[in-house]
Amino acid sequence: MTQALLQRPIEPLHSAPRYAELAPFEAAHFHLLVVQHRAIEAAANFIAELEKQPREAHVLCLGTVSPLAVKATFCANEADLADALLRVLAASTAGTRLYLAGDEAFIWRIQRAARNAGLLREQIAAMAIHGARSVFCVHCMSTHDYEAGDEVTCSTCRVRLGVRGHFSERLGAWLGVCADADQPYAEPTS
Amino acid sequence: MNTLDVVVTSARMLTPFVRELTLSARSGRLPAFSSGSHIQLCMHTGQRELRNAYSLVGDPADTRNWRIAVRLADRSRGGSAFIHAGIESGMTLRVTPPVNLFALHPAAHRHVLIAGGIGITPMFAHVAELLRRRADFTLHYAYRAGTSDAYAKDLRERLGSRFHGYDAAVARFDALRTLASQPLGTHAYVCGPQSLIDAVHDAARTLGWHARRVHAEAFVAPAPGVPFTATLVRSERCVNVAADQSLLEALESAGIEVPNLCRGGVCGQCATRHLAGQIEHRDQFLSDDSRTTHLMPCVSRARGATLSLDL
Repeated sequence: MTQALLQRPIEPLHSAPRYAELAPFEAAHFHLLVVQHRAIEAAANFIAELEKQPREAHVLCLGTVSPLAVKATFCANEADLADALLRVLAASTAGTRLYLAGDEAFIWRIQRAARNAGLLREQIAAMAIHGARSVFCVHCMSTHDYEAGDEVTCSTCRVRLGVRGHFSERLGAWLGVCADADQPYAEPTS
Repeated sequence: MNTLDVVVTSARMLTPFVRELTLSARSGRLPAFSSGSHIQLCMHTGQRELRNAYSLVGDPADTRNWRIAVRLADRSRGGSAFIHAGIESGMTLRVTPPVNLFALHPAAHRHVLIAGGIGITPMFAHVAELLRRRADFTLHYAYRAGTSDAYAKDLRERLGSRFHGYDAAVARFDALRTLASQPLGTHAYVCGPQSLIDAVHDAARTLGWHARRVHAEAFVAPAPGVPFTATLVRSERCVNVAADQSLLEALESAGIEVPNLCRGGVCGQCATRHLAGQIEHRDQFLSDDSRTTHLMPCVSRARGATLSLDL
């Protein structure tokens, strides 16, 4: 029964995020790439494309990598990166395009900060690499990151969650629902 | 059709060509509306019923009075001429409840309002709303002094440096300059002649803005054309459409209700399946694909003498 419920739909749900290779939006007046150092290699072709753009391009990188061909700021941690992002966005115009490369949990955290700063969903493109994703527990309403998989134990309430095919862009997380109502906890709570 | 009766409590000329009506409920309060909303006003001119859409001008917080402002059209099909000459204080009018196709964007950090002539009407309501919210906004108003400058003096006084007036005799609105340095969370709203709307869309595109940052409302009345006959296949009827009448108006006169909101070819509500005949599409809503099967009777007409509808 549990197995049947957890089977992934053959087609991803409408809400599931779609990622694609990044490509510069030619008409933009400012290009901003936010990237995790782990994703630098995956974004290498795109960074080469950015270099050719007539308009200004800027890279914000979490972690340090060898110097890039495009103007770049390297941040030691994600709090610094978020500060740098808000500073850059506060000084940019409505003709800005934002590109994100990293694991899914990272992409959606940055996406949320950028939306709050005034960017439209349509001005943001994202490319996901394998890594952390977020799950929202419907029982205790907490969100935590985990390595991809269809089942995970909620880090707050310890309910074993089946991760469903629905994704919330607002929360940047997949929907997690108790995988087995007859045995909700992963291990006895004693 | 859902309508309500309102009473004209006052009427005044804002310029020699623009008349403002204040409307009140016969009893109690009027339905609430959000800034950018319009109502349809039902008018009987001669033998014909005419329904035109007008933006609500007043403050959305005022639920006792609605205001509309109507410019006398150069080639009126009867609506604006009737409002200017046929409506007096004390009269009862039939209107539809407010509908909003031109709302403020909830996530905008700054609002740039751009009006041309009588396109000031929805902006006047937006200004009231934005002032109340203490929101960041500017108003750019292109007009001809003494002709199409309704509310200009009042707005200039209330808005100070947030008001930018462009009297056609001495100044010109520059869309590119206005939008060029706008910060990230800006949304632009434009209402006025098609040339102004096009200029704002073009400037936004040039500056790399996403199309969803520009919100436009054209004041479009159905342009006249050649008379034709519409055959309603399912109900086995024929409806004659006069030269200065829209297909939608002709259908309504024949007692056939077609859902509609804007009556100007932009909202898509009235899209109707056509079955035969050449169509002259005049809407700004349907894709080329959907035009092969549908038309919008609020503005579109037959290219020849007849067309058939799935009604």
